[in-house]
Amino acid sequence: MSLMDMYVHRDTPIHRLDPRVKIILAVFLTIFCFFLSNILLLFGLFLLLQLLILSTGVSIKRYSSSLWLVGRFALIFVILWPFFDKTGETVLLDLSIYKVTLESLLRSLSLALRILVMASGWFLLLYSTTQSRLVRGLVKLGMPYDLGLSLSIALRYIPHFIETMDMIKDAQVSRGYEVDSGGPWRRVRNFIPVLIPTFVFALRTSEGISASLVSRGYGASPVRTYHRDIRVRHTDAALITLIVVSVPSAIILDLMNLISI
Amino acid sequence: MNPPPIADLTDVSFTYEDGTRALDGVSLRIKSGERIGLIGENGAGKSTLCKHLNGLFHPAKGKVLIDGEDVAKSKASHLARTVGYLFQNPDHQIFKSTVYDEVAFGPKNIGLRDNEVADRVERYLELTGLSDLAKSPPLMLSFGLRRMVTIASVLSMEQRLIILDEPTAWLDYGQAVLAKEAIRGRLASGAAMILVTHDLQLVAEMADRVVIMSGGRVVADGDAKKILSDPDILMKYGLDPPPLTKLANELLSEEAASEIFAVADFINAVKKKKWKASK
Repeated sequence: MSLMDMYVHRDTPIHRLDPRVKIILAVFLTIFCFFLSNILLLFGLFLLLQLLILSTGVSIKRYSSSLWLVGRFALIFVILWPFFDKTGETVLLDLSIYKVTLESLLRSLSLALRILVMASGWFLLLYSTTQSRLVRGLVKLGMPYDLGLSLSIALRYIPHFIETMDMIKDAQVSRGYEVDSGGPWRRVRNFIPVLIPTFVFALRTSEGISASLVSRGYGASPVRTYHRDIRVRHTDAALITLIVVSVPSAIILDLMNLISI
Repeated sequence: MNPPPIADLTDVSFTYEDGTRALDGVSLRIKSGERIGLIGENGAGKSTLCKHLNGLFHPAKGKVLIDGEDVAKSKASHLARTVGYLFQNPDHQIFKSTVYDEVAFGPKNIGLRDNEVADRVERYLELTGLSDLAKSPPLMLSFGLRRMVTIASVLSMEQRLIILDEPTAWLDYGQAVLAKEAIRGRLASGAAMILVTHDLQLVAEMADRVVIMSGGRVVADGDAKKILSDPDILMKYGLDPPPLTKLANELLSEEAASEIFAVADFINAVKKKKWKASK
């Protein structure tokens, strides 16, 4: 299953939120993570986001496999960090080129938490928002409709392309071809017989979709109407205000060193 | 002593990651030279079964032996020497810049010498009517011709078991005739075939044994003529009898229908009936 096909079919308060609330939250959290380094604040935020994500009804097994996709990058950061940052006075481990200090460990954990918080914001959005509502939200936030429609089609086809790529790989392996053998460079080269048919398939599919859209009148009228529109309710407005005010405030407080640990 | 079957499945079960049980205790023996029509509704487990035969899938339970070798311990690319698989969509495999190179790809992968590769490619291009297109880019050909390229590229590997997924779909009449002839040529040299299709007329023409799958299980397995002329069993599993069999059942008799699988059979039966009536 692709990251873009993560929607959980439930009817929870998070699902019912206007998609713009969740998009704004994900974008603000992404920006927030670039500026914030306070490890306790990041950890608290991470825990809060996990509770919100689990309240969407996603199974722990499914969510943990998604989180692990990002988690392994975070883990690599934590493991590799001491190679590049040897500063700090409290030495925890010293293997000459690999020196771990308490300070550098905290910095690497802070970086890992930033990645996890950033990803959690997008997980929350994708678990609780259908692709059509996601695109409606983006269009309402100012994205041109054509771009929104392209994005929607692209998102919808990602799982299909992954499935097709698997089938192409099976077809080549069935002809005696070794896809998963050799060193890293060899493996990249091995993928050419898989990538070319995938690329051609993508081109043929996009050609078919555009012909189908035009033949059904796409672009014939400059004014669009919507079968299902989205509207901001009081709760949505309150949450947007809360996010817009609290996230920058936290960044400012952190930058001014007003939150101490 | 009898030679071992080319494929031997014992109590094979398989469940997809999403929990769908695709195979449920399937046991099947395929002898060299057998021509099997594997039929059933969509989702019956036909493709999953075939992917177990060439090592793309390994059984969660049970055992699959190909020519005596345990599939669970072999790689699909290695099994490609013994089992050929024609996929439905030609666009899932074509990537070379000429038809010749595309057909040569499989024989090269299984380590044939250059002169052997050239010999096979030329032979199968001839058999599939593609000789004049050998230097053409395959991706630019019509869908039917691309399909013929994939048929040639699988047959040119000359495996002992070939799995054909809807081999004549999207082919025009002339292409279908050529494809069937090329396949029959391979079978004549002793290769076994599993024909996966919804076209029961094609099964009637090409297969001598029919296996029906439903809900991941083998629900019928036997002589092609017997099964294809039994509308009750076919309809029970959502299958439409071959048109000629239906016609013969309606116009002649159930007994006559069990022998009619080609237009020539039907004409002969009608002539025979007319002759009897005139006496």
